Amino acid sequence: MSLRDLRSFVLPLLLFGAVLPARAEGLAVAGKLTYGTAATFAPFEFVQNGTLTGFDIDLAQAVAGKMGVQADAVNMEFGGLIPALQGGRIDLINSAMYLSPEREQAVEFVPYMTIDNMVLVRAEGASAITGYDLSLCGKRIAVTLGGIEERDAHVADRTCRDAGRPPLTVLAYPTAQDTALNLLQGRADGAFTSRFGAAVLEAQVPGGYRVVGTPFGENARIGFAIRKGDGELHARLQQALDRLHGDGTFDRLLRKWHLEADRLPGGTGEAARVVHPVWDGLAYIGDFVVSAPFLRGAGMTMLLTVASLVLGSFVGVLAALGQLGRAGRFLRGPIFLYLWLFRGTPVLLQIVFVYNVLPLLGVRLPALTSAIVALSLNEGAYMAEIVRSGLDAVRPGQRQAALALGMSPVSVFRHVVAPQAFRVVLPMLGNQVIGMLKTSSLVSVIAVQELLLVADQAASANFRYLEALSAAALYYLAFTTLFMLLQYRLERYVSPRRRSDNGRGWLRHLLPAGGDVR
Amino acid sequence: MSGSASVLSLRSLCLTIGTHRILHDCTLDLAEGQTVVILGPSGSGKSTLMRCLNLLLRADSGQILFRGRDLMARHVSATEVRRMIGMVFQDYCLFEHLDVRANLLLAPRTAGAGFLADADARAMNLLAAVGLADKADRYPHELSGGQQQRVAIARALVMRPELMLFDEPTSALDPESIEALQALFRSDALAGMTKIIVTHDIAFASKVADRIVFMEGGEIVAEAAAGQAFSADANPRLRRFLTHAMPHAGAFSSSTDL
Repeated sequence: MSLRDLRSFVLPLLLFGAVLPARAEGLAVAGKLTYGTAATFAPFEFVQNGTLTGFDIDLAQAVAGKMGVQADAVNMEFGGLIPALQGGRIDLINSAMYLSPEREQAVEFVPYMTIDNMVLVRAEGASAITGYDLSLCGKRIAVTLGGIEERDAHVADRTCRDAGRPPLTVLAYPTAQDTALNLLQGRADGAFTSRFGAAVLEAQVPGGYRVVGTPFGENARIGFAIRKGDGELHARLQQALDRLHGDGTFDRLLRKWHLEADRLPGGTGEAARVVHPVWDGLAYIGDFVVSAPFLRGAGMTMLLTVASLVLGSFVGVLAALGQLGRAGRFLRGPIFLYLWLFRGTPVLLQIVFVYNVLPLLGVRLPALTSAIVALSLNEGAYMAEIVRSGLDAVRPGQRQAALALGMSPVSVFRHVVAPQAFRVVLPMLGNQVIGMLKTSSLVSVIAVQELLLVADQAASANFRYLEALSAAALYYLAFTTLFMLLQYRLERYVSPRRRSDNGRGWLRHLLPAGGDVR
Repeated sequence: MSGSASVLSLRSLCLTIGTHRILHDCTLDLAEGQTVVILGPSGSGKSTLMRCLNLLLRADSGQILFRGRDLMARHVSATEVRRMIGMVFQDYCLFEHLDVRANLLLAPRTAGAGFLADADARAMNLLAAVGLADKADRYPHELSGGQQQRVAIARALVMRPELMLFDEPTSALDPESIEALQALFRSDALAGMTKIIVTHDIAFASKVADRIVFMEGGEIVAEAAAGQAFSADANPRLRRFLTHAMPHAGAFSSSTDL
């Protein structure tokens, strides 16, 4: 059921985290119950009109109330939750996380609900699938990677093979939304999802899905996840949950989110087409573009890009210059190590490392700072090579001539070598800027609310994927265009050859002719 | 032209790079206002010797006495030395990213107040003197080789050097530009200036030199006043070099006729 994966890249960090001693007991922030959640899983946690909401969110509020503290949510990618917990970033994971033996090796669970699964098919047209039975054999079934449905799908597959029927094709997707979307788009014949997820889908996409058969897999539990050995928190959470059960709050929340045990989806009948009309979609894109979350997300993306580029350039110049001259003899080793590490590992790993592993070593940076530090260090490593190539491209005679005129070495570098090197590296710099703009989307994994994360969350609330992603794409394209124009102006400014060449307009620059090698 | 006390005296200059002996025991005296041409085959150490004079290279031992002061002494600032000794490179090395005016003004502007005073006027006067007053706003790549060289000369002169070094000034010039360069050497801008010129071009040397120095294998092999160097009683090795390099030159004519 809860149904979301641990991406493979987190696993090494996770294992690393598991062998370190647990942090001292106590809350990450005094007086606050800081929890991590991946708000792409309605009705448990999702973003609606820019606000975090759902059963789990209400439950955390209620639990914190009973504990006499304040609940504080950190919204991030599902894959980042367990590392964030182990890094001491959050006190608990509250994200409808399903209890699996694998996860129980890394974290400790405080279960609060048992849920079962259902088989979904497209509402439109006839389906040969009649439920969790042999009618699944030979079909393509969409499930969420690492979720309990994936296990159920493999059980069904084995049953089919044992019965001499054709096997299932199991399609595992990263989120429940992806699973539902792929069913709707016809890439899968059926999907397994939680009973509650099915109800939400029927409400969100009327006429899109149909439930077949009866619920199955009734022993799947979801719960809060805490650090292993955090006994005090375990006891306090359990106590708070017991009291919520006692005073009827828990049942009230179940009703509010339509999660009552006897509620079954299905039978709404209305088989309206789910395809949204185009003009409707355009209006949605417009709304998204000007909505506060998108504006903030775009601002965050811009901030990440500019800050990381400025700092990264600084690091890169230092790393390039550090290898020169007399000091270079001693610095070359450490600088090589830096370049080797940061060019040799995925930037995603570096981001997760700075955010989740450094705290274990006593360095605790806020999410945005972690993002900028990781992106800058990564950028610096590439920039160092670019700067070096720029310096190499300046003809030695230029330096000699300037020295021979009685210019000081510092002046020579500042007024002769640096400007000429800059001119050489400008096209490469343009690539870096545009690359960074897009790389910045990776920091969603540590809960920095940049453009792509905002778009993903907006889409998961109402299934307007096309519209939300188009809105984000518009921002990215606008920024890219802006940077390209800036690069064009700068190139003209620093290059006398280009300045005197009036034949090349800015449009021609943006759309290089065939064979134009850049 | 010659006479008076030495402006520059080299005493036993030696330079070895690795196991390769580049300069050996080079000793030379240069009088005020004199033009000395250093001749010699490729790899004889001429250009290296010149680069040692303005400390772009550092000789291993010996002395470079400039008006009696040893430039090789530890406390002497290379930057300051290079402001007194201008140099024009074989390939000119104009600053590619700056226009002609900025090429002339960069060094004065970064060298402090003493050089900045009326640097603009000085630069424009020098550009006029080398015949390029109308090219102040051009970039190096827009100029011909000869024009670039004249900018390089003006750029060096704007620092008011007391000695000028020229590395192979004619090697990339067409005959017309060479003539223009000779005229420039005779003009007010350069006539009284003490100059050292490294070249292969014997015709050019014979026109501008007061003294000829002949180098081979890193050593100064022969040294003579210009008139004497081109006469029959010159050093035999120098004569052989001149004969090879300029087979059609008067008294040294050989079987080959161009």
